[in-house]
Amino acid sequence: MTRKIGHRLSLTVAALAAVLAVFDAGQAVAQDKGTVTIASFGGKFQDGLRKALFKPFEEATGIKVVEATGISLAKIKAMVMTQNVEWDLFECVPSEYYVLSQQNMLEKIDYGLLDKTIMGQMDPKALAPYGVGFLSFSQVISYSTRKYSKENHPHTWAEVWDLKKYPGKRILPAGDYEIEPMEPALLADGVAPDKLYPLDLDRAYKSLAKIKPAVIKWVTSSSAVPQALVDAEADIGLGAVARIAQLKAEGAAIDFDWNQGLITSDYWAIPRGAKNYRNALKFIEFASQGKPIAELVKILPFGPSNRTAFDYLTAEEKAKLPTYPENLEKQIWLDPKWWADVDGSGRSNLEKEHAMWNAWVTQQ
Amino acid sequence: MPLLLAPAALLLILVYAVPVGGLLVSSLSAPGGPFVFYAQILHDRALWLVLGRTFTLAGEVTLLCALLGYPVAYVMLVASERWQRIIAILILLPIWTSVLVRAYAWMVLLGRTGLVNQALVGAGIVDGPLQILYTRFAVVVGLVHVMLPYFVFPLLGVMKRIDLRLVAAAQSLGAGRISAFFFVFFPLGLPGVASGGILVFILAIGFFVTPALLGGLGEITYVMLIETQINQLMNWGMAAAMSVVLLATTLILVFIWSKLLGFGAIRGEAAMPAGRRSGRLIARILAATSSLRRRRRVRVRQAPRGQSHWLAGGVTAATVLFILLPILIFFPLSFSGAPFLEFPPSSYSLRWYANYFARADWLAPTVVSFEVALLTMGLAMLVGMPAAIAVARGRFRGVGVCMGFLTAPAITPTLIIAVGLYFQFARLRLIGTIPGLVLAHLVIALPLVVIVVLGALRRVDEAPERAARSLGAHPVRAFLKTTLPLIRPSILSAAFFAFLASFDDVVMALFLSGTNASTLPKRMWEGVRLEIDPTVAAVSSLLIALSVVLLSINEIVNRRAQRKGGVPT
Repeated sequence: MTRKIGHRLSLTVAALAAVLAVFDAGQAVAQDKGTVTIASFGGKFQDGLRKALFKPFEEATGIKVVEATGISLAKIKAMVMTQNVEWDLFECVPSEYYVLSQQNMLEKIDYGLLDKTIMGQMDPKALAPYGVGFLSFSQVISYSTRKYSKENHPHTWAEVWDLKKYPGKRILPAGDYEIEPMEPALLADGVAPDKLYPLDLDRAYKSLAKIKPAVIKWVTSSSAVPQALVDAEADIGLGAVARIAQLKAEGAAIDFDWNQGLITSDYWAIPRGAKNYRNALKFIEFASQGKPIAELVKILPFGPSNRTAFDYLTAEEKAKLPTYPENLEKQIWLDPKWWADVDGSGRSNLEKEHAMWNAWVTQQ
Repeated sequence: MPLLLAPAALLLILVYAVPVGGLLVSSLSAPGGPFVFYAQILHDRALWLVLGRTFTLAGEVTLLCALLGYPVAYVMLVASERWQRIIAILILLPIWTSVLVRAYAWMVLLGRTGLVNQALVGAGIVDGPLQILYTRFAVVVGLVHVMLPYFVFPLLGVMKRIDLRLVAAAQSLGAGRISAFFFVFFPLGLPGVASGGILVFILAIGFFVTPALLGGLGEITYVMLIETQINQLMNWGMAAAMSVVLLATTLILVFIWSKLLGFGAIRGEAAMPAGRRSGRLIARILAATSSLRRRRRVRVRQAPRGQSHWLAGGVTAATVLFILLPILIFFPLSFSGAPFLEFPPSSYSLRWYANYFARADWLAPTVVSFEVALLTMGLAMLVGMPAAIAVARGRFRGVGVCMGFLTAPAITPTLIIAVGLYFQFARLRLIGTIPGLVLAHLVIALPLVVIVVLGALRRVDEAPERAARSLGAHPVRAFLKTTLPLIRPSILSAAFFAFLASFDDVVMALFLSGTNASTLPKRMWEGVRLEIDPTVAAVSSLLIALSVVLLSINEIVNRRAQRKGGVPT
C-alpha cells in the first residue's frame, strides 16, 4: 500500500519534472562503454590531473574522461544506495577510504586485471583491497616567515608545543576534521613515532589542553591554514605541504619543515555498482605508471607511489616531493586504519573521538 | 481557501516531507532499537550545550539585525522614492557574492593585520592588535551582514502600509515627535519586526558556513555537528534524529515567541491585542523621558515624509557602510596580480577576469545559475503567494499547522533535505538536470516567500477587496486590483529572496547537479579543499558591477518617465 502511494507520488513528481523539462536544454547524457567518469577535488588540483592524466589517458586508450567534482561521503553513499552511481572513480583520503570500505560502499580492486609490472613498481602500502593509493600527501609544521625563519622555527611537535621558546599564534585542525590534531598532540607529549598507535586519546587531550590558549583557530578546511599564515593571522600551523610549497614558490611569506611531517595516501576508489568498472581499472593502471605520474607531480607536488616516477624528474623536482627518500625519512606515516577500528560497542575510534571532541569543546 | 494551499502543500509533500520523512524513518531503524539515537542525544550533555549556544547565537544575530535594521527601514520609508531605491540597492549589493568570498573579506578586515585593527592601533585606541577574528564577535558580524536584508525588507513592506497620517494626527493632538513615533508608528510596525525577526532567527540557526569559517570553538553550531554526522561519520540515523530534535525545539521556540509577544507570527491574527499591549508597554518605557521633556513645546508636523530623526539617519549611514565594507575589499582583490588571495595586493592585473571569461567551466555554471534561479523565483512566487493568502485569510482549522509545515524546510538542515531528495531524484533520473535543481531550490525558496508575503498581508486592510467583491468583482480580480498593489513591495522582496535562495545555494547543488548542471556557487566552492581561487573575487565583482549597471539604467529610465509625467515603475 505504502509502496503504491510512494509510486503515485513519484509519478506526480515526474509529471512536475516533465513540465519543467520543457525549459531544460541539457539533459543528462547517457554513458556508453567508451567513457569513465572521474570525480576529484576541482580547482587547480583538477587542472593538474586533466593535463597530466586525463588527456594523455584519452589519447592512449580512446576512452573519454567525464569529469566531476564535489566529492563527499554522503553523496557517495546516496549514489550507492540508490544504485544511481554517477561516478566510476573518485579520489579519497584514508579516513574516507576506511569509512567507505567499512560500510561496503566500494568495489574490490581486481588486481588480476591490472598490469603486474606496473603494480610491482608501486609501494606495497598503496595497494589496498578497495583502492589504489597512487599519491601520498603530507601535513607539515608550517610557519609565517614574518615571525620565524629557516634557522629559527619549531622543528618538532614538542617545539610547536613550547610556547616559551616559540611564542606566537598556532592554527591546528579541529578534532572533527579529516586531519586530526591527536597525532601531533601525542608526539608533542613525547610519544615515540613508532609507538603512536593505538592512540592514547586521553593523553592526547591533556596535551591539547596545554597548547589550547595559543590556538586561534581549530580549522575544518585545509585551505584555512595556508591562508591564515599568508595573512599573518597565525604564526605556526599544520599545513598541507603541496599548498604551502606552492604559495612559497609564488612569493608568499611562508615556509615549512619536513621534520615530523605526517604522511598518508591519496586513493583512487571505485564506488560499488560503478557503471564502467573496467574502464576505471584501466585508468588506475594508466595513472599508476611512472611517466604520467611524474608529469602530474611536476605540476602538483605530491609524492608518487610508483618509485620509477623519480626517473623522469630532475634532482630539483624530486627534492620537492613528500616521498623523496630524504624527505620521507624525516616524516611519520599516519595509520588511518586505527581510526576505523570498531570495538564491542559498535562505534569506531573516529566516532568515539568525535564525541570526546564535542565534550571537550563544550566544557571550556 | 484551503484550495490555495494545495499547490504549495503538494510540492512540499513531494519534495520535502516524503524524502525527509524517509530519512527520519531511518533514524528509528537503528540496530539497537528504534530510539537508540534519541537516547544517545538525550544523554549527551555536549549536544544540548551546542543546541543552546546555537539558539543564543541566532538570538543575538536577530537582536542586532533588529537594532540596525529598524532604523534603516524607517529611513527608507520616509526618504524620497529615489533615496529609497538607492539605499535598497546598496544594501543588496553584497548579496551577489558567495558567502565564502564574504567570509574571506571579513577575515581580511578583522584579522590581526586587518584594516579594523590597523585603524584601532593607528588611532591609538589600543596598543596592539586585538584578536577579533575567530571570535563570537566575528561570527555575529558575518551573520548580521548576511541576514540584514532578510530583516529590513519584510519590515519595510509592513511599514509602507502604515498610514502616516495617524502619526501626523497624533502630533497635531499634542504628541511630541518621539512619543508619536513610539505610541503610534512603532506598534503598527511590530508585525514587520516579528516576521523579519523570525526569518532571521530561523535562517541563522541553519547557517553553518560563516560560523565555521569565522568562529572559534564556542561558535560550533548544531547544524555543523549534523553535517559531520552525515558527511564524515556517515551515520545518517544519528543525523536524522538530531535534525528532528533541532526542528522540534526550533518550532517550539518560535511558537512560544509568537504566543509571548503576540505578534501573530505563526498565525494570521493570533493574539493581536496582546501584541499591541506589550508593544505599547515597551514604547511607553522608551518614550517616557523624551515625552516629559517635550511636554512644554508642542510642535505640529506634517506627515513625516522626507524627514527622519538624526539618530536613525546616523545608524542607517553606518549600517550601509558596514554592508559595503566587504565589497571595498574584494574589488581590489579581484584586480590582484598575485596568484593567491592577498590584501592589499602587491601588484595589479586583469588575470582573474581573463581567467573567468576564458574558461567554459566558469561561464557555463553562470548561465545555469541564472536559469535555475529565475525559474525558482517564478515558480516559488506562483506557488507561495496563494499559500500565504490562504494562511493569512484562512478561517479553517489547522492554519497554524499549515504555517509550521510551510516554514519547516527553512529550519531543516539543507544537507538533510539534499540527501533525502537524492534518493527520490535518483529514481526519477532528475540528478544533474535543471528541473531537478529547480525543484530542490523551490523547497528552500518557498518558506521565504510565504513568511514575507504573509507578513505583508497581515497588515493590509481587507475592506477595499471586500468592497470590490461585493460590487461583483471576481475574487481573483478583486485581489489583483485592490490588495496586490498594496503589498507590491513585499512581493518584490519575496521574489528577490527566492531568487537568492537558489542563486546562493551550495549544498543542494553539490548533491544534485551531477556532472552537467553545475552552478556558480558550486564552481566557487570547488578546489576550496586546497586553495581559494581568486577568480571568485573577479566573478563577485562582475556580478556587483552588472547589478549596479542594470539598476542605474532602471533609475535613468524611471527619471525620464517621471519627467514626462509618467508613473515610476
